[in-house]
Amino acid sequence: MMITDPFLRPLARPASAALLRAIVISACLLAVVSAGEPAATSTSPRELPPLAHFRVTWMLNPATTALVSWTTPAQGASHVVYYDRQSRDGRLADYAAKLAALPARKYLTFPGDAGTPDGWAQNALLENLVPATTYHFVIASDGKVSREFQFRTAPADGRPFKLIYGADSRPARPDPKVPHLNRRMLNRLVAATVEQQPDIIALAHGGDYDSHAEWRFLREWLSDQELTIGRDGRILPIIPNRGNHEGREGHSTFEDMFFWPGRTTPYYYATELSDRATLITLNSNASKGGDQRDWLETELKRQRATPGKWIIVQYHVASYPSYRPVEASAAQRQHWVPLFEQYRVDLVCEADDHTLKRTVPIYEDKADPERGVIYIGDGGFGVPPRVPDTTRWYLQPPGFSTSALHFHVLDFTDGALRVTAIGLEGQTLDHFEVHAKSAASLAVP
Amino acid sequence: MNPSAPAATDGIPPPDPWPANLVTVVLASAVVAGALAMVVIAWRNDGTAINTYLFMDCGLGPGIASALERSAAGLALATTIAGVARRSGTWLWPSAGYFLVEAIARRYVQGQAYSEWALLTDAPRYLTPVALTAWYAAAHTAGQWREGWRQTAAWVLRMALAAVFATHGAEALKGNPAFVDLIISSGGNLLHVRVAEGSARTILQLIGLMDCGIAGAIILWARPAILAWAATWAAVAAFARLTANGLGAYPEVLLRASYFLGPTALWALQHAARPAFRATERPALVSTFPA
Repeated sequence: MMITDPFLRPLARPASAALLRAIVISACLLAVVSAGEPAATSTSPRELPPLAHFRVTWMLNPATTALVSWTTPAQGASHVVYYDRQSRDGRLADYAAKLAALPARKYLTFPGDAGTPDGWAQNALLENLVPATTYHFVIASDGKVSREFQFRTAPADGRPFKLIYGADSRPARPDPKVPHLNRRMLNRLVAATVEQQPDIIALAHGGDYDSHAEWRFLREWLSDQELTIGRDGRILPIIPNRGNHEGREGHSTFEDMFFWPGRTTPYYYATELSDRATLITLNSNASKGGDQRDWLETELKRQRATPGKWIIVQYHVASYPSYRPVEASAAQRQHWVPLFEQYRVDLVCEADDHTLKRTVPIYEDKADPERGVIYIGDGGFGVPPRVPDTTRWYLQPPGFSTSALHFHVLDFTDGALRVTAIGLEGQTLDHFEVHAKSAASLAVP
Repeated sequence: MNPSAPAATDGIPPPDPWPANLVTVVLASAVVAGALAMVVIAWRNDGTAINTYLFMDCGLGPGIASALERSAAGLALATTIAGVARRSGTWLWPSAGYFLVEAIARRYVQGQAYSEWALLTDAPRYLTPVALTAWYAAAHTAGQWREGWRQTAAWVLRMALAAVFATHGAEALKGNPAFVDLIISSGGNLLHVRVAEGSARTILQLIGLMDCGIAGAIILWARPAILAWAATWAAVAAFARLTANGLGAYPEVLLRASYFLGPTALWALQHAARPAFRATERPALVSTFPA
């Protein structure tokens, strides 16, 4: 086999041969050397006050339990939450209860975080709270005292309430020094929406908070998140979900941002929003078919044992995507979707595709208005929106998909679940109702 | 004989034609399959990490980002086919560059487990065209020059395969959830067996150790039995995408063609040498080219 390639003639020279080998060896060395952490981006970190990043997290038992968290620039020695069911205007001695924070956790940093001041997460787990009650609190850390904030515990009865669902709030460019204006606008819109609709009890975030789950990025998200705090100091508790940009377990600042004491699973859990509704959070980064699937089946069976209960599921990577290829979510459709259908899940909240979507009711991979599950999403809480593939069968009317920044308001009132998508200008982009499926329409699990 | 090629053969006869032809066919198949997979993925909606980088990081419109990616992937496929048809290594460099850029972009945009290792896990994708370039150079030359290029091709493949086996082994040892699901889903689809996550993780530990062992063996010995096992196992791992996620995952298999065709090509490369050289296989860093 003789080759006559004029381009290869230079390769017959020793210098060329050495050059080729040098290129190959350099590429291999580059691969090995760069196999560690991604390169740092330029940072000009935003100055943080001595107390910052005030937030409340819900994961388990939100009617009686809430995790109050904040950030300090140093580990410090004394961190206390003073709280009461009445406003005390910051007079520490007047608050009915106080609780010392758990041991401080330094936010995990990566080589790219060099130049960004360290931060310490302070967490106080408030337990034995009274359901459906407003709690006022202030934070005192080493002599520094915050303003008074407030949050509401979840109801433990059947009263109406609302929930905000938003996902994908990362910026276009992974540069912490560039303000994320769309995210800030949406956060301000959330605060305004909560002032108009005070029965909103929490914000379920579907994941992908920022470009990388590293300290210099997540501290920006945490600062922007403070814009959701109302003028009256009301903090909307966050029910966190782990997106694909939150990295893997043990290798992400996400776990410090949304620490939960005694957490036993990799961020899949059930949050009882009331005795009539449960939000199940799944982790699309973890194994879909393993322990998580077993847990999901057990949990759905337990939840469905309560007649008429609303069961909502949130996770990040869409099972019925509006942009990515359908094949990419095969594992979820194999392991999770049959359980959603078997246990008559009422609504599934998805993300990751950076579009606004509502599917037709889906049952066994076909449109089925009687037995089908509706999937909404797909993440537009500040991330640059993509253009969806509107030709997919599950996005045909009454389903739809479009390119828009948005978040959803889920209204659990009068036996119906009303879902409204709110756009960047506060306009309604989508609205529909879900009615509880009749048990007779489905085989009893 | 090309008049520009070195005339001296140093008394070394040309290699057996059948393993030499096998090397050409296998390596060419691997690079064409990889380039084809990139085109298929670019033509689907989401594209590769290059698309994400162009859209998210460069701020290009989604249409422009897709058009650029599709054009680049199409160009890489076209030049790959041209390179294979013309037996020209020069034409293979665009696809090697495209794979390298894709790996860098994936590492940069993140969003996938262990994407920080993309340059290592993807090494066979961008180094197989380099190996084929060296092999074409070997066919273009004679004597010690031919032997030098043959060994260069072999060592490029050995490093690439060792990199991918070592990193996949490390991911398996760390219990990559995607690998766990490949085992669980394949068990359910093929055998109708429900594999518990704990069992899958135990299997992954064994697989991880085996992969790391294969990586070391490829560098140190690269015996036919080891290469046969590496090729078989890499094929099993690649086709597990189909058994776990259905036939729609075929681009994932094409992308990994160099993983299971690489060991085959390496075996053929060894047999393309005369016995005297097979016994003295050594790193390309130690030049076999004439001084």
